[in-house]
Amino acid sequence: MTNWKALVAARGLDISDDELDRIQPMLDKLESVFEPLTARIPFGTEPVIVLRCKPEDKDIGDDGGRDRLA
Amino acid sequence: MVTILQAAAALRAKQLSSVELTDEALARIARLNPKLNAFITVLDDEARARARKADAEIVAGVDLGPLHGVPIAVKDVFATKGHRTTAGSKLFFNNITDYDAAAVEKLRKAGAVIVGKTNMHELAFGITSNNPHFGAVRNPWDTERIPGGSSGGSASAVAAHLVFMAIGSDTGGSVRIPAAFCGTVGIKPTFGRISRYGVLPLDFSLDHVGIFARSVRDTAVLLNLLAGYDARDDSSSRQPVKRYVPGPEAKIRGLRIGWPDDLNGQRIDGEIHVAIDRAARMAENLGAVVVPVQVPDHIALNAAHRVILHSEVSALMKPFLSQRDKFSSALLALLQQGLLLSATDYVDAQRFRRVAMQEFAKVFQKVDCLIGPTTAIPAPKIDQTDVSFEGETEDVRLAATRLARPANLLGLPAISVPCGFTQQGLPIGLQITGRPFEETLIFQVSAALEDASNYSGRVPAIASAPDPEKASNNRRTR
Repeated sequence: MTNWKALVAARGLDISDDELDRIQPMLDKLESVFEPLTARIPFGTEPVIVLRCKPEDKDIGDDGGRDRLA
Repeated sequence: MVTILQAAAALRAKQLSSVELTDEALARIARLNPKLNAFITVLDDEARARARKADAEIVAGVDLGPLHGVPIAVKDVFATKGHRTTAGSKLFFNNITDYDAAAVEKLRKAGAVIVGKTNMHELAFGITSNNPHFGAVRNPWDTERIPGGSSGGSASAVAAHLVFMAIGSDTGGSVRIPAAFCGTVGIKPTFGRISRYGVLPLDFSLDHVGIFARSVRDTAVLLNLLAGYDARDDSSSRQPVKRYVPGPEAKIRGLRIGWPDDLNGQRIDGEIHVAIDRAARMAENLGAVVVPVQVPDHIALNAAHRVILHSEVSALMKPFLSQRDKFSSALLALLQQGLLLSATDYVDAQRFRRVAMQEFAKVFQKVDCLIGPTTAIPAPKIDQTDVSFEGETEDVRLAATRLARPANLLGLPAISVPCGFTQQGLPIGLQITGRPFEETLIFQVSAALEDASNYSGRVPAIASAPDPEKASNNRRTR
């Protein structure tokens, strides 16, 4: 299981001990369910969020979408 | 008058005017909003002006469609030009935009009379609508209970007949859960079906715009109005908009309706189980074939949804986290969870999402849609934190959301339709989930079930009680 307290310290997050005590049970529970799931993901499966450059993107905006590349 | 289609017919037949409808809506809001707290902002003057314009247009033969002159409401996450949009948060107390959200633009173009902006869960991140800054929204069927959320004010306003329809947003059930708790119809269409332009975001890949109304056909009319591609929203779909409104006799003979096998093993309130079972039998009586199907584990789907939700919301809200006094402690706790998840967890959740979508695509080769409860529980009491199932307790938030979240993770269209009441008089919602962009089919199934029952459009006692002022005026004029 993740040592959340150490993680908070290492990342310098503004989360007090009391606040961490409150959220730790939820994080532990989520981790215990989520971790085994990752073993079910076939190697090479792409995430749902991927970069897709579509030809029609040139239609977006008067500037051909250049502002989205800035 | 219950539905938009009835109101539209009466307006065109000159049996009533938009000004009369709007005045009635504003009077009901003035009388009931102190009890329900469904609105953050009421737009009296603007609504009356729009209603007068609608009446003039109708007299001049201009017909903008079924919403022309009809009073409606908008959740306070949709930008409305010249008015504040708070998202139920202190952060946006004075957020006044000079533009309308895409959905609001379409509603205005259709001649709708926007009477106000509805109250909601803080930042739309939760399902109680116990808003710490604007007060708790209350359920019109029992004001000691929550309306659900995050679009609680929209559902409460539609259920209490303050307005004919309202729009909301749905990231993990935020339209369908309040629809189920308040006894309205509520749809979250396919991801990308309605533009999110101008909606204060909660989560980039889970947010959907949704609709509340008092009948399935009204909801379908509204989806036809709001659906369509919008270049201003990167997630907007170019899939053609179909005709969603079911005919007068919705037929479901021969349709294969999937009954998820894991429902039998899930913790679900007994009365809800009975109501859903009754709806399935009703579908069979109408000629559909109800097929037990194995669906991906809801616990896994919920876990992936939560990893994505916490991660994306925390990234979105990180610039504001130093302003701690502007968040409730409950909301801060949710945002902090996201800060502690790893990038690998987030990417894996998005990879698992693809696996789950592929598994569901296989399910939809066997059946045309899935049915089940929208929520595992009826509306809980305000401030209730846990619910008990045969001795086992569960967090109310999880019990309310676990059946609704999967449709957000998968982007699938899902509708909640009233399908009964508990012995305590609390509404029960039936959820029908379809293939991507097959809203027409889920409207057809829900319309057939609505036609065969009488649960939609019922009026809660708080809304059916006579207006004391009107009653006293009537006595005086007699």
